[in-house]
Amino acid sequence: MAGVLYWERGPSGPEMASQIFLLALLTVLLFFFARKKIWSAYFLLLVTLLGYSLYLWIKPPLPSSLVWMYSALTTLAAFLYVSVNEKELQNFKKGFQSAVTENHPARRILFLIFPFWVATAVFARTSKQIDPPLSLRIIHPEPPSQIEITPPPTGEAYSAPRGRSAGGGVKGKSMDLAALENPFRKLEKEDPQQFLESVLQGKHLYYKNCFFCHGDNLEGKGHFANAFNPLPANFQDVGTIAMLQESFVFWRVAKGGPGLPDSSHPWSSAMPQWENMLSEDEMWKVLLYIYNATGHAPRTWELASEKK
Amino acid sequence: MREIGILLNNLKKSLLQKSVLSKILPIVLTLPLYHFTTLPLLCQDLPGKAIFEQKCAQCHGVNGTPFQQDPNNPSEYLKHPDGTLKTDEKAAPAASLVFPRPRDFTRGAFKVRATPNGEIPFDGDLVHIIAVGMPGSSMPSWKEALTEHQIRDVVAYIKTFSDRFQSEKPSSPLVIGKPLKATESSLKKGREIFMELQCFQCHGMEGRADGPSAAGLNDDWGNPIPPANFHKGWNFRGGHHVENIYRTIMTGFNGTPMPSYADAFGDDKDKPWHLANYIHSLSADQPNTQEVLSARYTSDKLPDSPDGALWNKLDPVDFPLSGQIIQEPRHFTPSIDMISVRAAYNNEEVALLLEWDDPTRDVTAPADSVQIQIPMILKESEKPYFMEGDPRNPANLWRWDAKTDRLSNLRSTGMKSSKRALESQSLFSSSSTFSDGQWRLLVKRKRASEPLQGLSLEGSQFVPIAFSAWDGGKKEQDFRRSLSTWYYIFLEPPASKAPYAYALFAFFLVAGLERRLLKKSSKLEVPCLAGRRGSSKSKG
Repeated sequence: MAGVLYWERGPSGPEMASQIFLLALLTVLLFFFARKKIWSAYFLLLVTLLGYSLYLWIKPPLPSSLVWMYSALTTLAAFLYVSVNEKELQNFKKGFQSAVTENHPARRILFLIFPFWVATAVFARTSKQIDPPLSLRIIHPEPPSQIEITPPPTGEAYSAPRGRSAGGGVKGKSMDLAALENPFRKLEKEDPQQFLESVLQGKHLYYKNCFFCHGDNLEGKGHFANAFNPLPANFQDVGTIAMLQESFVFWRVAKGGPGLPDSSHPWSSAMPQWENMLSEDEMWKVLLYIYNATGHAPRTWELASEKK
Repeated sequence: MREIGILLNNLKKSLLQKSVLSKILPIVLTLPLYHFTTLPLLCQDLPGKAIFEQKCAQCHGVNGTPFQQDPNNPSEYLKHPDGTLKTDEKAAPAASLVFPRPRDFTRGAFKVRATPNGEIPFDGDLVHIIAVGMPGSSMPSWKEALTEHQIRDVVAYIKTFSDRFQSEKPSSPLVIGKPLKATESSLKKGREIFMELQCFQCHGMEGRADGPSAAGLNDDWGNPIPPANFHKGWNFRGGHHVENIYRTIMTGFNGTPMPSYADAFGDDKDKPWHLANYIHSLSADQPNTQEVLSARYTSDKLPDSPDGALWNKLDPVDFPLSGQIIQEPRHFTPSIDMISVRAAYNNEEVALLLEWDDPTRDVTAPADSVQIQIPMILKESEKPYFMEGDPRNPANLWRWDAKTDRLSNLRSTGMKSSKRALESQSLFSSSSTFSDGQWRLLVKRKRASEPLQGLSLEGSQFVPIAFSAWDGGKKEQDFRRSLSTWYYIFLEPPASKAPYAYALFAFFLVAGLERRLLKKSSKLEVPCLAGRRGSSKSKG
């Protein structure tokens, strides 16, 4: 899923211990609130407990900061609910008071756990490993207004070894990115047979060049994908080609990782500069295929103006 | 709505993965599938045809074979001069670029089955493999992309490619039963059986796919096929659970040199489980991938050889490698898919222990080689291009090859640029061993360095690091290599005792406060509560 960081460090030993102690603390408190039948406060604690365990253990496939935010917000909302009037607030306070002052065996457990929680939390915090520098990269950077495409030295793709140096003699073709359209897309209406033929050619090119990383099912899980960080783009996801114009995707394919601006970390992207290996038409046909196979439609200017 | 569905699905998955059930459930769920035998074969135009042509044909071929049939003799295939089969570029465009080659369905021979050796599979076997995929190959899992119904349609269609599904019926399915506990003695017996059955002939003495016959193995079609490396459980074609391994031992992989050993155990029902336990004990379920390679501080001298005692105290970090498919000439079928690294340092030097599996020791050109890459200059917001740097940010390459068994220190501004040799004699030392299909290379570098020789490696700094590897035996050199993108190496500060002191202090502080509170509340308990109750009542 887009947006989820690939590298997620699990909690360290002390962190895990402090989390368990905190959960135990909350559980004992729950017991006191239930015993006193202070249901609104009981509800608050339960929400906190749920939110916390969602964050720690269940780990839904969302960025952890988002889960953390949601949990904190629900806890806050629950707190507002329990403190809505004086009586409720007094009730709430009483629950804590009874936990601290009442001579009940559960209080002993509470008082035993508490120092352990504080100690483990302090240990976890002070012995914490330093995290690697955050690499905040812009995923869909602003494209340049013009690009210059240098065709590969020979017409046939994926044949003999060749590269940028070999193609140095060929003069580049300048393109205005804003006005750029897929020359094969109009065939969809004009000549459906020819269109499907182009899609099929695009599919062949995809399986000769792209599927190793972007995967058989176009979800970015090809058999080489796990060697790369950042991971290859997932075309099935609504956050990639579905929300982009075809000219933008063309730019990304033609110029690859090295063509990214610094804000998008061109040094880490394993996306090749495909203009060196595929002809212009071939790149457009691959785009036809990836949109066709995922069922997404490229975003267009018309659509943008309709929204206004 | 669709996204919520995906979310719930993923949620269910993450819950499942956590539980012990995740180990048992796949087996329990798939076992009943084995009992389904054959779906009716109605006509050629089955609903699975469209799905097959859309999702499967790019590798397996529109006609169920990735290979070119001989126009003069349709039962034979066209061959390259080296004996491997020519793939059909039109019908199966991806087939020539993946290794092992995709399966040809026209012979009805399938690897992962519950049926006895040589027999056609049950439908359930095929459904199962399409659903979970073939780990370690380019066959992905289709359970997210296709429904069970669709998979069954595809299976029905796949069966039309071979007449065997009409003329033959699978006999009794293998009953897997309950695994034997993997005790010390079971593992010992397993090793004895491993030797007795000569599993090492292909899989190697230590299970690293380096046996004497490993290099010459061909499948029934004449294409080369590698034996399994028992250390990489995540690549086991039939799955890495002990039950999966048992099944592979008992039924074999049809169409490959892996036979069924069902007859080798006589009436002893425990023997195959001992062997399965032993193989399972060698394998890890997942590689230990991390973003940061932490180098441990030691005040002692760093070991001079890969066998030093220090290394056993450190956990290796596994770095997955991919084929170099970014610049021509591209290499789609790399030999080395992972490199494992441990790191330590003292006040003078940093030491890296690199380990990687390679079935053969190749010391003549092209020789086995490996390369560590760090930036020439450390910048906070920029790195060199991950493939050997760029003109703006040059990379520093530490390249080792088995021919010279020495490191060269190079400055590079790109894959195609010429490399400038930097001083390395006084800066580096290295020591390598090769045994049982594994290279172990110790690299030591002085931490202090002149700016023109490379970075000074300081403590508490995240230094980008990347790796490349070449298997000389597979004719890999230059661009034909395996590589990774950037990771980090981090010189951990020496372990400090301070956090223990802080924790102890916090513990006694809180315990002391609690004690005071207890004393106070035992005195005040009754009046306090009574007072509160009284006041709220009076308010009410």
